[in-house]
Amino acid sequence: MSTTLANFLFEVANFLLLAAGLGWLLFKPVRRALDDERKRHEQQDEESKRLRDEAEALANEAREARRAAERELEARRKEMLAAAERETAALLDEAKKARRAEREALQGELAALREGETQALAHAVGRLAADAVRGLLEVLPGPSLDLALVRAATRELASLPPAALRSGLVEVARPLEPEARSLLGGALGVSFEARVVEELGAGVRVTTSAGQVDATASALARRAARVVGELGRKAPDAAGSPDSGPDDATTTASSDSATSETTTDPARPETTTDSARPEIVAEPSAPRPPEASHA
Amino acid sequence: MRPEIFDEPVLLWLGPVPITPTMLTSLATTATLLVVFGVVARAVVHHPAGRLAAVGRLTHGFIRGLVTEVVGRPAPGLEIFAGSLFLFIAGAALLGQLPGLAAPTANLGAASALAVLVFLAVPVVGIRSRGPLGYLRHYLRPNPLLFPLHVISEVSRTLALALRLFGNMMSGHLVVGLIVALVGLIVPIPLMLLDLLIGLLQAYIFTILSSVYIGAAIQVGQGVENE
Repeated sequence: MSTTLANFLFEVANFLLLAAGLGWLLFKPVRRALDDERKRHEQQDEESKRLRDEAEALANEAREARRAAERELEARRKEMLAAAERETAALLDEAKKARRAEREALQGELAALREGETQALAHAVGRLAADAVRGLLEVLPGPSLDLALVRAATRELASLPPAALRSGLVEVARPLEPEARSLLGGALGVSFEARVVEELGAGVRVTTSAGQVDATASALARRAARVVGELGRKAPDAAGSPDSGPDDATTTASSDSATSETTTDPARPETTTDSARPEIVAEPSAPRPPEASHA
Repeated sequence: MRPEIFDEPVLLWLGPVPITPTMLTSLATTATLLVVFGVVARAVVHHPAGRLAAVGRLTHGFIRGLVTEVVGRPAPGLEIFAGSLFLFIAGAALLGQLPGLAAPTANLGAASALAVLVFLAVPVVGIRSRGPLGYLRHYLRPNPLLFPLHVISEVSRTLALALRLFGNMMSGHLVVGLIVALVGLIVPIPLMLLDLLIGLLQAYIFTILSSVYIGAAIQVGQGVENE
């Protein structure tokens, strides 16, 4: 066999052997490994894609949840705002009511305080008036004052029916002077017995079936205290009511001082500011128990 | 080194079969390739992150890309055939640079053997792809009068494959041997590098031409199928 033919045949066999060996040792394992690796990469790609899809889904859910939360937050905010407004309005109404109630209470308290102060002032004025009358009595001679008061009483007695005067009860602060006695007897039309009541201070008080004529110093003091009390009560009314002015109070006071007053309570002391005009009580007065000896 | 172009000494006789240096070099090349790429394949399988695995991936990827580019689709059988051709020719060129050794492809018998294998692979692949009649029909197209030209074309290209490889490898080896004989040891180194480059280039050319021929047989079969 020639060497060329031998080389040819050997190279053919050698190459086939090499191809088989490389196919078995190199290409198949490497291709299999690369295929496995490619499959693994594909699986990883699919897994990553799946995870990415899940992540996107989660992100979408999170976005939706955030939008829902924002909507709920907005709704709650509006609801809370409305509730706060309602609560504010309720609190405001309650505060207004409380303020109104407090104001009314304060006004009541103020009125009561003013009433108390007015009464205290009236009593003080009454006491002052009584003290003034008492001081006046100490300064003036008693018979002159009694005479003046008796004269005033006689003028008032003249307006009463004569029949009612005959059974009249005469009370004096001290025994009357003859002139005063004669004037009073002339006014009554009959002789009378005078009961001495020292608390009257001065003057005379005649109680008849047609009424009572009180021309005494104590009546003057009571009258002064009552007028002061009425002025104190009318003053806040005149200040609180725009319709009533000071002229009305003045008019009322002047009318009170100009006219005689009547009362349903005979025991209530009546006063007058006009010392020259004794008070006339139209209703029959209750009989008074004798408190002093007759003059 | 005594340059020999066609005649080759016989190292020993195994009966009627002479054992030549080309046979031993071819056998050494084959054994080295099997051992080296066996290790590389093991590294690819068991240590995919190592450098050897990278070498294996690059080699496989290069051959696969080459075949896929020529054929148009992955062809595992052709990858093995073309890859074996490339690795054998390149390995032979590398082994031929060792002192006292010649590349097996510098032997006409070895180069002819590779070319004949390509020549035989073309009809085998074509018949497997289309069948015997389908493959033989392409010799009659576009005109039966072109049948002789088809035959001459296939024979001539096979002859060209063999002679191109043999001539390039033998000439480079012969030039290096002459320079070494005339000048010395250091001067031929650039020529040896050039010879190595020529050997690698011939490996690439032989491989891609073989892929083109075999791929053409596959595509002929596919074209007939499409028709």
